[in-house]
Parts: sequence; C-alpha cells; structure tokens
Amino acid sequence: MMFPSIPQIMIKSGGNMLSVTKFSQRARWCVGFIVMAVTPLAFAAMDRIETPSHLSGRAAEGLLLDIAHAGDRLVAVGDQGRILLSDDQGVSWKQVQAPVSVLLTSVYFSDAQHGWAVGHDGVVIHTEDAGDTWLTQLNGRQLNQLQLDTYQTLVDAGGDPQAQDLPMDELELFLEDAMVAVEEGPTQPLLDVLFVNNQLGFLLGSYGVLLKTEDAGVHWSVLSHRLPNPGRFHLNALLVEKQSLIIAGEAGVLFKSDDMGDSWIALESPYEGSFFGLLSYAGQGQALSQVLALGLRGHLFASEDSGDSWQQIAVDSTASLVSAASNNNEVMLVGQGGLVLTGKTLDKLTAFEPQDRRAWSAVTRVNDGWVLVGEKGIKRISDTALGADHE
Amino acid sequence: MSKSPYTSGKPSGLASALLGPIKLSEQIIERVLFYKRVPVLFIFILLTLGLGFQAVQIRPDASFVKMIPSSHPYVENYLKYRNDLSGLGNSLRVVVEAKEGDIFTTTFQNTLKQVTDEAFFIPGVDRSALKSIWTPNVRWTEVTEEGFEGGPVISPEYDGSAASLEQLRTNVLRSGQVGILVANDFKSAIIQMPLFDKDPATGEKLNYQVLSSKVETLIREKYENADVRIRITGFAKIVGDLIDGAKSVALFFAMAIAITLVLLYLYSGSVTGTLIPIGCSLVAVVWQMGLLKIFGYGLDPYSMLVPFLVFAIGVSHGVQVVNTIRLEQSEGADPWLAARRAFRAIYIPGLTALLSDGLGFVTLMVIDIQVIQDLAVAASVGVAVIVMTNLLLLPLLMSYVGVGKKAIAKMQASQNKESSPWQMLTVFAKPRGAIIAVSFALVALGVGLYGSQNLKIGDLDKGAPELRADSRYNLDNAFVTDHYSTSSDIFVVMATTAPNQCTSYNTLSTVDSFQEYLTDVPGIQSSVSLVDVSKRVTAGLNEGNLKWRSVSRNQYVINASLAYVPSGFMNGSCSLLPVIIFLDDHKAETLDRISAAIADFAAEHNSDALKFEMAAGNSGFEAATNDVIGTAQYEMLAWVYGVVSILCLLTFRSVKTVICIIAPLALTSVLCQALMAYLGIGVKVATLPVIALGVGIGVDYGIYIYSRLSTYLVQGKTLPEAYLATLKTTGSSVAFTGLTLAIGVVLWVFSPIKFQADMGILLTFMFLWNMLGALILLPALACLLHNHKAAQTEENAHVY
Repeated sequence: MMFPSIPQIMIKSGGNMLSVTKFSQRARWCVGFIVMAVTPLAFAAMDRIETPSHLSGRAAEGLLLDIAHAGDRLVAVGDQGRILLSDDQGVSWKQVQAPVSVLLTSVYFSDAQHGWAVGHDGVVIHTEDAGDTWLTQLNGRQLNQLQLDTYQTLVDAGGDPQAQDLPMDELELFLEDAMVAVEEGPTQPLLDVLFVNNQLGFLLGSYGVLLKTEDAGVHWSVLSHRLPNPGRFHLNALLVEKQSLIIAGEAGVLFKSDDMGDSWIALESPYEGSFFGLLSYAGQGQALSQVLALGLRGHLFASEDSGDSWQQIAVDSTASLVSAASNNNEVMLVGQGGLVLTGKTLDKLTAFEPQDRRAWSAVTRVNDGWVLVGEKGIKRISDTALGADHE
Repeated sequence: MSKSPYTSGKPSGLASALLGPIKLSEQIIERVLFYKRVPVLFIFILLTLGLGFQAVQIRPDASFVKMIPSSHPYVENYLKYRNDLSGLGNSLRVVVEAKEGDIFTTTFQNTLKQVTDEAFFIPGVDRSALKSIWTPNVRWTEVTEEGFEGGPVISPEYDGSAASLEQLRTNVLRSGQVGILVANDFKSAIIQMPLFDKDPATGEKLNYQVLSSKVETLIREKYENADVRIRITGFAKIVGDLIDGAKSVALFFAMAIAITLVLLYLYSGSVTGTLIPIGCSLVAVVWQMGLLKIFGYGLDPYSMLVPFLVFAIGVSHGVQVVNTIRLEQSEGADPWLAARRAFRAIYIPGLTALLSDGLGFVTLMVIDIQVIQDLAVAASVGVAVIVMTNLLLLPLLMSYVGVGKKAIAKMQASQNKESSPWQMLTVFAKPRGAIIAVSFALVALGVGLYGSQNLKIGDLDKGAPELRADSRYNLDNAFVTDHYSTSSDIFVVMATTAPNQCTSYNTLSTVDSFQEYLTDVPGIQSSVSLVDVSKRVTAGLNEGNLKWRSVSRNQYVINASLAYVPSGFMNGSCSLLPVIIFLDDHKAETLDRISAAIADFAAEHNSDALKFEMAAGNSGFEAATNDVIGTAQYEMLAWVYGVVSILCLLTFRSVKTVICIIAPLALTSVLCQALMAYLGIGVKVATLPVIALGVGIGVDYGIYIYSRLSTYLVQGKTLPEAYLATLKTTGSSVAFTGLTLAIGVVLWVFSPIKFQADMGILLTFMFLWNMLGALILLPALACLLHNHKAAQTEENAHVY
C-alpha cells in the first residue's frame, strides 16, 4: 500500500488544527502526529488472518460461499470466518469459531472427520473433528514465502526437472511475481480446495496459484508454473473425473492432469468467458457421467470425454451459473440473480422461484431436498416445495 | 398563579424579608398609576402597538438541532462532522403508488416521469443527486464476457410499448433497485430527493415550510388521482407537517378564549369584569410574543404552549383583581377607589405568586435541550409581562369603568349566604375526615409509585414520534417501511481517520469487523458503509463472483473498487466514514443496548488512527436525548421541589407547613408519572417540562389557601371554621383558577401533533389534581400535623 502523498497532507491538516485548538490539545496532537508520521499505517488494527471469527447469532443470514458434507453433518463457510454446522440436514445451524476472520471461499471434507477450508489472504484452515475445531495450516505470508523459496530454488537449479519445456524466462517471471507478492503482503485469495483422499489435496487461487499437498496439508508444494497459464488467470474450480483432474478458471481456461497434478495440459475451451463451477453428472438414461462446466451469463457446457470436447447446453437465463450438485440423475444448478435450475436431464432444466433475486454461491443435496448458500445466507428447498413449484 | 385570595388590604402572612423591596415599590407604583392615569394608559397603548407589530411578524419555527441536547457528546460529535454528513438522510422520498396493478404500465410510468421532472425543479433539491428509475444516474449493470455492460434503467428506446415495459422490468431487476427505488412488490416506486441545507447559489437556509408546501401542491395535489396515490416521507416533511399542525393550535386558542369568556361571565356576572381581564390577558400574550420576536425567537411547536399558559395565568390573576374590586364596590367604594384598593391588596401577593411561577419555570434551564430552555425563557417572559398587564393595566382600566350593579348585587348576596356548598369540604379539616383523606392519599401514592415503575424514557411509538401514529405522515412512513427494504430508525456511527486514510485497508477491515460485530447486537437489522461499497464493487470487478466480495488486502484493488463512491459514504477529505445502522425500533432499551455495545467496541478498538464516534441519525440523537432526559428528570424534580420548598419555608417559616403544601403536589407528580406509564407516554422532551410547570403553578394554590387559613386561625377560629372561611373567600377562586388553567391546555389533546396532545393530557391532569390536593389534602394534613395544638388551644393557633 503506497501512499506517497500522505505525509504532506497530514502536515497541512496539522496546520489547520493548530490554528484553532487550545494549547494542551495542540501538544497532545503533536505527539500523535509524530507517532503517526513515523508509521502512518501501522496502527493496532486486528489482522483478520490472526483474529478468531466473531460468533454472531445471525451468522446464518450473512454471505456464505460454500457448503460441504462431513458425513451426515453439513458445514457451510463464508464471510468473516463464519463456519456453520448443521446436524439435522440443514434445518438448524450453529456457528463454531474459526481461527481467522477472513472471507472463507471453499470447504471440502475428505471423510466425516477431516476437512479443509480456504479463503482470502491465503488462508487454509483444517479440522480433524468434523468441523468442531479448526487450526490454521497456511496463511498468505507463509504462502508468499513458499512461492519465493520455490521459485528461487528452481531458478537457482536452472529449471524444474518435471517441467522440462518451461522456458527459463517464464520461471524468472514467477520468481519476480513471488518477490512482489512478499512485498505486497498476504493479499492473495484462495478460491477452491479439493482432497482426493485424506492426504492428497489441492488448492486453487487467484492469479493462477495451484498448490498440492501429500501429507494432509502439513506441507504444500507450489505447482502454479506447471499450468500452461501465461495470462495468470484466476483458477475457480477443480474436479476429479475418472482419475483425471480438471481445473476451470477465468476467461474460459480449462486444464487437465492425468497424473494427479504433476503435469497439466490446456484443454481446448469452447468459450472465452469465465467458468465458476464443475460437476460430474449422469442424466436420466445416461450410463456414463459427463463433466459440466458452469460459466458466465448462463453458459453451460457438457463433456463426455473428460474435457476433451464440449457441447453447449441451452439455458434460458443470462445470469451466471456458479455451482451445481446432483442426486442420482437429478441436478440443481445455482447462480447469480437468484437463478436456480433443476431437472433430470440437461435438456429439460426448469427455473425455480425466479423472483428471489439473491445470488447463490453453492448447493448441496440433503436427504429430503437441497441446501443453498449465497449472498444472504442459507436457504433450504425441500423436494416437496420443488415438486409443488413444478406442477 | 396567583389566585390571590386576598380580599382585604390588610398585610398578609406572606410578609417576609424577601418581600421588602416589593413593598417599597408598591407605594410609588400606586401613586403613578392612579394619579397619572392618562399618560400611563398612553404608554401602555404605545407598547401594545409596538409589541403587537413585532408579534404579528413572529414565524413558526421548528429546528432539529434545538430538540436535541447540544452538549451531549453524541451531538457534539455530530456537529463536528455536520457538514460532512449533510448528504446523509436529509432527503425527501416521494412514493408513487399504483392503486391497481403494478408499476409496469404506460400510464404509471408517465406519471412517475412527470413527478420526477416536477421534483427536479423544486428549489432546494440537489438535482444532481435526484434519483428515480427515470433519472439517468440510476443504472443497471451486468457482467459480460467483455467486462461490465450497463445503461440507464429507462433505456433511450423506451416508448411505452409492451416490449419496452418488459425491458424496463428486466432493467429494474438487474439494477439492484428493488427494495430501494422500486417496492419489493413492484406496486410503487420512489423518487429520492436529496436536499441542500443551504442553497449553494444564494447561501440561504432551506425553508422547510416552503419546501413542504411546494411538494404538497406541486406533487401530491397535482398527481394524486383515482389510479395513483402519492406518499411523502423525510425529515423535511416532518418539519413541514409540524409547522402546519402547529397552525391548528390557533383554533384551540380561539376556543379556549371563548370558553373562558363564558365561564368568567358566569362567575363574575359582570360584562366589564369579563372583558377587561380577558383583554388584558390577550395583551399579555401579544407582549410576550412581541418580546420573543425582539429577542430573536420563533414560535416552535414546543413553546407554542406558552401563550396558552400566559393567557390562563393572566385570566386567573385578572379574576382576583376583579373580585376584589367587586367586593370594594359592594362595600360602597367608587370604581377609582375600589381599583386602587384592589391594586394595593393584590400587588404584593400577586407578585410573589408570579415570582414562584417564574422560579418554577427557571428550573427548566437545568435541562440541556434548547427547546426546553426556550420554553423556560418564553414562560418567564410571559410571567413578567403579566405583572405589567394584569397587575397594573387591569386595575387602571377598571378604575374607569368598575363593575356593574348586577355583579355587585351578586357579590353581596353570596357574602351574606349562610349555608355554602363548601361546607362539605370542612369534613377534611376534622380528624376523622383527615385520616380518611390522608389514608386515601397514601393508597393513591402506593398505586402511583407502583404504576410509575413502568415509566419509560423516550418515544415508544413507531415512525415519527412527533406526529400521531395515524397521521398521514406516519401512515406514509409505515408504507415505505413495509414495502421497501429500509428502516426509518437510523443510527449513524462516525468512523474517523486522518485525512486520506478512510479507504486504507486497515480502516476498512476494522470497520468490516465492526459491522460483523453489529450483526449480533439485538435490535440491529443491518448496517451499511463504504466497506460494503468496496466489497460489492470488488466482486463486480471480478465478474460478479461472490468469492471476491471482501475488502481486498491490496490497496490498489481497494482504490479501484472506490473509484466511484455514492454520496454519503465518505467525506471530501476522506477522514470520515459513516456506518449507517438500521434498527428494529427506537425504544429506549434498544437504543441503550446498541449504544453500550458500540461503546464497548470503540473502547477496545479506537486508536489514534481510527475512532468510532457516536452518533448521528434520528436514533442517534434520540439516544443522546434519552440519556440527557434520564438524568435530567431527577435533577429537574430536585430543583423544582427544592425551589418551591424554600419559597414556602421563607414565607411560612415552618417545616410542617411546607409538608402540608408540598405533599399534595408530590402526590400529583407521582400520579402523573403513573398516568404516563398507563397511557404509554414516555419521558421525553415534550413531557419533561410538564411536572415542573405543574408544580410551579400548582404551588400557588397551596400558598394561598394556607396563608388565608393561617390568617383566620390567628383570628382565633377553629381549624374547621377557619377552613370554611378560607374556602368561601379563596376556595372558589382556586377552583376557578384550576378550571381556567385546565381549559387552556385541555384542547391540546386534539392537536395533530402527538407531543402537544401528550402535554395537554398531562398538564390538564396536573392542574386539576393539584387543585383538588390543595382543597382536600392540604387541610387534612394540617389537621393531623397540628392536631394537638388545634385541639387544645384553638385560639392559640400561632404556629401557623
């Protein structure tokens, strides 16, 4: 944060104050001024990376971005480090404390006990007791240092042995970016988290950040440079499909790895707008699942060959599609402007409650319906309500 | 007011050192008044003309700042940042409602367009900030592959066709204005009219009354029809309605005069004895208003009570003078001599009584709210002019005309009558009756104390508490609250920083956690600040992705997100960032809880770089007012009772006597509080002065009855005998005075202004109960407290 003009402005304002204040106030103010002139921005603000979240009785009404199953339990995360748990299929919720108060963007459980949530300022938090307690595993400062160390080592070693065809000057660019990031501070949001099992997991972030762990998040390795992503587009969603990993991101980028993330290829994208979500889904009468890519302004694409080729699915909406979930062959897609689409095949999607304009961010299936989270918290849509609406 | 009971010229029991200077002045004034009648009269006429000329120029006035405690820290903070906050809240909202169907019809949109155009040209409106779906500054935006796409909600191609109405519906939905400029049910739309406090071209202060009436005539009257209803809300409208409502008070004044006229004629039986006191009292009102105008005061809805009180007090004094003149004339004196004797008899007790009234009013000055202090000044000026008009001018006028033969005959008849209706009341001056009366009083006290525990501080009703719940304004306001996503109870916290620091990451993230903290405080619906702007725009810049809806740690991202900030979210030098908090209601408990919660947060997080300071917004001021009133109510009671007790002690030099006089007043005060609790009237700016006014005026009854009583006791009568004699001479005038005062205020109950109605109810109650207390409880207490002496040596009643 650079504010070259601040000192001058403060001096000017000081002059104004001197002329109108009494002596004692003037003296006090001068002291304050000296302190502030030395460290104009370093006041005792709480750092949200280290401040435990505030427990609010109305946490369920605020911005929530993701929801996941931890066994029978539901875990939702969102604004200001909010983590909400429900043990009754989303009817009632209680908040638990997070060790951070950043905006949490994504949550994933590898089994009923082990879960991770990621968020702004490069934060990763982890639970081993189904979400009751959480500890920080990584923050943006550590992330920046990790990137710097990684690229310094790789540049010093003359390249990445596992990415032979990556040009050296490209690697030097990564190093330069890592140095700038250390200077800027922990500004990088992480956008998605996915664990293949209790040990192997991946993080996606803004500006093309990709991290991998093989020890449940104790150590992370930086793989950003393994993606053919010279534009450093944001990476929004990750999916495991038939032993392949697929990443979707900003500006229509799609990447695929067949070796659990060590090497990546760019898929030919059917669309130049951003993708926000991915889902593996088999419609009614379909034997094999297909990959759905959800994008800007109602753009929906399906691939039957793990991303190698895509077909656009017509959607009667221009709102962005953000997230989807399925239950057997029934699918629900949610998005901005209150968009909720459901159906049993992709060519027969119908809109539910189009008049509710709040934006949705994620959806999951529960026993008797769906639970959505978004701009104004949680909404439960039961199968009966859905059925009634469709009749 | 002095219902001065003195019907003879003999020195009274009021004589005390305090009255020395008054006595000295009496002889001089008497000589001038009765020997230079023409020049004195001429001076009076000149003064009346001059002050009358001033009085007609007095203008209704309602100032927001005067109703709030200016030295409370909340208000000081507000005043410090007032200019920066000027864009906040001071706006009118005009709702155009479709009675049938929704807003997406050609005719409705035509009306909405015309009203928007009309609003644009009303002077005082900040045209660049005027907003409705028809103004070009209200836009929709949408994220596309290429970035943002957007346009005005009313597209340039709009032609009223079904297709363009459908387009309009889409634009409204994506503009995010549902709940703000368009009702949640799409049946009405709002035109938001921000106002200039001062006209930027002329520098003239906004005239709320002119603005309010322009909006009425140019918008409501013009566009309301069978299909469309117009509703108007906003502070400027409240002020306009208050001033309009206050005008209807003039009618009450006329009615009060008429009723008093009739009662006075029935009481005195004399045409001159009716017209002259009323005329002189009106002169007092004219003088009072003229003087206030000269001193630079306007007539605000609070001090509007004062002319009524001045009139009523004036009449009650006038009655005493006329009564005495009648008595003198019935004993054979000519009008000149009768008037002169009456002057001599009335001057000292009258002046003393007025002094006690004045002191009662002056105690209101301890309350740090300017309208109450103005009320105190206006009432004191009023009392001072009554001395001139009703103690000097009135006897002077009467010395020319006297009272008629009929009135004299009536007086003689009543003097000679043996049996009297007052006989009944003497039972309270005997031990058995006294015990009953005092027991009854104790029970009433218990009930009163119990009932008054529920007394609440502050305003309890929804909407604008100044106006009635069913007033058009409050109905309009309720409509907006019900159909739009905004609350009308707003509490503003000012987050202040060094210049240019209001958008720094540290500032925004701390304010962000403050707003998060607020979500958990009961009574708060939501809050909004620059932080929300930054978060939303940051997400918008990232394709509307909710995962970016956070304050970025990257200052460049923050700066980009705040490239365009709607007015009211920060000041020009970027050192102030208001956090606007919407509340469930403005009950005192809610405000207390919220203030305390915010103070806790501020104590923990305030630093040299960022301070959370309370408070602006209507609820912020209300919190400050409640705070001041909560303590002032006891302070004021202590002062007013202290002052009248000392006055009584100086006059009578007996603690027991002070108890006899003060106890009935205290009982009335307690009962008044219980009545307030029962009627759901809170202690607020309007009701706080009532007890001081009631006690200040009510103490006169006690003083006159007691001093008269002691005169008869000194003459050797038993307590019941002395009491009967007192009632015959003074009791009727006390009763008449209580009635006159009550008539003066009771009509207020019908005022369209809620607080005037509350004041009317409570003052009527205070005046009547104080009168009954003085007539019944006072002798009962005297009987019990002095029982042994009265029983043993009735002739030796000097203790009185």
